[in-house]
Amino acid sequence: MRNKLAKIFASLSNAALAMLLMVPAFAFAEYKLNLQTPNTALGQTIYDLHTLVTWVCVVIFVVVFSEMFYAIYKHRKSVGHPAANFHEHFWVEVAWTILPTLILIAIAVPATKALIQMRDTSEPDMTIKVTGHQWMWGYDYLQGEGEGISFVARLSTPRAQIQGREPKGPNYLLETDNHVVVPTGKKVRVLVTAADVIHAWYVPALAVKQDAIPGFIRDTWFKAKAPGIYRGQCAELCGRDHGFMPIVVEVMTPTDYSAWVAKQKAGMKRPEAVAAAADKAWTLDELKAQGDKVYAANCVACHQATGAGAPPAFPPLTGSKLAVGAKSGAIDMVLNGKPGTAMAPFKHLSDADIAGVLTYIRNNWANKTGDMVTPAEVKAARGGGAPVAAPAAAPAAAAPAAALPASVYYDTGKAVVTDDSKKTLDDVIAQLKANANTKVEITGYTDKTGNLAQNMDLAKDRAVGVRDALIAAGVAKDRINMKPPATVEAGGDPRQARRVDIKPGA
Amino acid sequence: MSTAAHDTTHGHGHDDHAHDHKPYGIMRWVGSTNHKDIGTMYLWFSFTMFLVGGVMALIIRAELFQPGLQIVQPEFFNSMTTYHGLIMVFGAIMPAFVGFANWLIPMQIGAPDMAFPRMNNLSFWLLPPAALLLIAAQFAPGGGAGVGWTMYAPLTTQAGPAMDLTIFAVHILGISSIMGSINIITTILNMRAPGMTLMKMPLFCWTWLITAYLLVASMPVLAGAVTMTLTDRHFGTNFFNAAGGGDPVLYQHIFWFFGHPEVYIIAIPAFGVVSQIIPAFSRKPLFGYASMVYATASIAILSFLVWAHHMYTVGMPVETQLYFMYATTLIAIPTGVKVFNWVATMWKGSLTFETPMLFAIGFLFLFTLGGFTGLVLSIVPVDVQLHDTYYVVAHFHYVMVAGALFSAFGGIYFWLPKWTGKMYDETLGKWHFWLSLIFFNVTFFVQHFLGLAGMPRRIPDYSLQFAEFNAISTIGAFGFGFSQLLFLYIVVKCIRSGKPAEQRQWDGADSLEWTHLPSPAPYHSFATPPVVK
Repeated sequence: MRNKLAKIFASLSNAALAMLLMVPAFAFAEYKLNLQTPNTALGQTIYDLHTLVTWVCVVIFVVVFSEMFYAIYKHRKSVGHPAANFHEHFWVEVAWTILPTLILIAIAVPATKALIQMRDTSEPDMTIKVTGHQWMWGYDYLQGEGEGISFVARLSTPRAQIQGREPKGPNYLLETDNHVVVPTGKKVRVLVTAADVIHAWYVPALAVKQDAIPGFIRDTWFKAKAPGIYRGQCAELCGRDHGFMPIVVEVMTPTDYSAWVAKQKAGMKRPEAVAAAADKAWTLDELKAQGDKVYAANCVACHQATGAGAPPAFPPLTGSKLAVGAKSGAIDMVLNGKPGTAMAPFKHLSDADIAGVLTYIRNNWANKTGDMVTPAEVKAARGGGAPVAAPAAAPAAAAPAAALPASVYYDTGKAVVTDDSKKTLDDVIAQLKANANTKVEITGYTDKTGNLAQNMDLAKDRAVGVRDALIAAGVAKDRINMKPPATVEAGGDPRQARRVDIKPGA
Repeated sequence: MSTAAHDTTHGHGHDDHAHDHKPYGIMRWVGSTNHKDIGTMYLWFSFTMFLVGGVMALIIRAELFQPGLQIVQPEFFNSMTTYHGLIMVFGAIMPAFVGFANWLIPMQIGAPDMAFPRMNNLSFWLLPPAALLLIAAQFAPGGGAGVGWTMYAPLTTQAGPAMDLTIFAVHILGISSIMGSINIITTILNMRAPGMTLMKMPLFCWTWLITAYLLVASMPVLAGAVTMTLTDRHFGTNFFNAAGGGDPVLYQHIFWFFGHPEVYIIAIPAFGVVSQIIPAFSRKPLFGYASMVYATASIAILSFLVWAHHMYTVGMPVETQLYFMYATTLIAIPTGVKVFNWVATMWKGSLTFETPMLFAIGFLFLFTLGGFTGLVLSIVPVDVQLHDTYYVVAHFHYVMVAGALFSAFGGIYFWLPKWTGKMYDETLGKWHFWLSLIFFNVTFFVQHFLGLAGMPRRIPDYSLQFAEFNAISTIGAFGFGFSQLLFLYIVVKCIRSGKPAEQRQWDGADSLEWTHLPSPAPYHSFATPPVVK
């Protein structure tokens, strides 16, 4: 705590110093004083409406306060002005009630027209669905030219720029990996929704701002005039990285737009690079390197570079049972997310990317599974056809599904495997042989009755016995992780105190 | 109001009040049922919270001084914006005006104390635990809840345990406010001195009577909203979860049904204070007293009918938006009436410009500016451009800081002689005003431009085109913050070594506390009610 405070104070004094140094720089800065130059007809209407209302306010302000300053100047005691004693005047009071009413009505007329125009989303030329996620935007072209195109757009400013380790680029925080591309002169209806919390899709130059509400779809529209790139941001507080989910709309001429659509469609039909990546025989290090990039782009905002997350909303990955446990659980979490939490589905990433990031997570920080998640496994988990690159997975389906976790029970005081337990052990061995990647954890249990040291030794002997049985059956030694013996509370099923558990593990 | 001047000129040694039996030591404050002691505690509590909230504001502004993340992490930044808002609204501004109400209402209507003195004690002593909960939330696992002071669902469902502490704090603050309001309403309606008809009451009492009704009507609504959030978080309800049949926007409707009256809960007592100060220094009765009362009441009623203008971008039917736009612009009419009345009060007066008057004029000028940006924001198509940008931040700081806070400063300088029996340092007071005025505008005027150019609020980092104005704003914020330490010095200096004040320190002030009570006001005043002609 002390350190943190000291750090804050140090930074504040640095900031104060920087302030003094910055002052001369203002002279050269470019100051933007008004709304962004609109690129839609409606935007122009709103711009003019804002100008009108502001001028009305300025005029009233000047009139009222010139009276006040006149009084301050002329009606002061120090110049000997005597106080009058009037305190009401019927007609004046009526006048300054009626006059503002008329002015308001005069403003309301153009405001009403603009509002009705603004909310008319009927007869669009094309429709795009926008989905706000923590913290990126998903886009689906639903109708019109480009129908079927779908992608996700994330902040593409490197973290090094944000943290001041690199100079900031001209479009700092207003750049994304994918642009929303639209044609000029077409009415684009935008359906806006969200996957987790409320966001808002805001592009000032297109005069569009619409809250993205999870579970509901709202709409808005724009018709862009000139080609160009228009940048906006999420406008509704949506958690940690609310300031880091920009929107980039690229407006093209209809011809360029058609070309863009054709290119996108071609990319969708023959995702050669993606397919090649999936079929490639990856090594663990290659997958980790791939995963590092994917992690930095998708995961680091919540789960942090240290993997420690920001509990409780964003759980740690380092030391996480789910992350290093059975691969299927980890794959499922990344593919499908966890409803009701900030963990969004990442289905849109390629198999190779998901495999890479999972391999990275399972072999980084305190996590040392030493195995890799292959693109084929991810593909299989998607239900997208038979697994290709994992022949060992085929018998896995046939193997007894529930062999793991298993418990091997012993007679009191003995470390010899009983006949019943031998069958359990055989099932486990069969499953381990079928799944070359599965690892196990072995724990011996005892209770607290009698001599504790003796009990512990017995539990350990039994666990070692199980390990030797597995090794004898051909299971590699590095797939077995021995855990320290554990005790169970007295009063339960006495069998529990003389067992060895075999669990899938790291 | 129109009472004969009392012939006592010096408070000290006035026989009737020479034997004040006040308890001594800490128990005087812990167990106090005296409206003046409780008023004092409210004011010191609110100033403490003002400094806490101010430090948070400076952390925010320090981070925003330059593009990039330099000082804090985004989640801590979000927590700062959240608790800065909550602490300033519920901890600083609202208790400050309740402090004024406690000190002044009994004295201005000729009552010996508040109607329910023990409840009064409890309303105050609920505040420190609530404040501690808000501060403790910073140290909860995962840090403070970075959800914004408006606490929109479903972001609140994601937040950590800090959210529960915050919700509980809001509950406690709400109970405190409701009890305080019941006390104020009962005192004003039942304990006025003979002859003090409602329409003879000083306007400050009127504004508090109306505010107290707003509080009683709106605080339970907020309590409901946060309780629904709590049950959504822990007890499996789905009020704000679409997947369970709820609606996240429902939260906003409920919150703003409280939230808009809340704006006036803060502003209306500020109107009251200014309506005492301006006539006093104009040496002229308040222009349009009756229309002031009616305008205040109209604003209060309208405040319950316009809540959705905070939510133009959630997507409502166009007819609903039209209604809320028209209803909102209507508020400009009674507000305009008030501003015209204040200016007309000054017109042809005999003006002097002591510190309270300077703050009142500062209030009038800048609050009106904030009112005009409010009119701009009421126009839906324009608001859609400006909603959730720094334009809104600038707008409500003009109303809350230059409006309510300046009015509170003016009030403190105005009544400090009556409360302490001593005068503050006039030169330093003027310094405080001019520093506050200049730095306030340096901080917030430029934020209009940021908002127009499209900078969203509540972001810890921004793109390069916003850099210059943010740097200026930060410089202003630090200047404004440090100027308030001068205020603390002035008040402490006044209490310790101020020159003795006159009974009627301001010759234009004509309410009962000036005409009938010495300075300092005795511990027990108006044990026998004065007769008001």
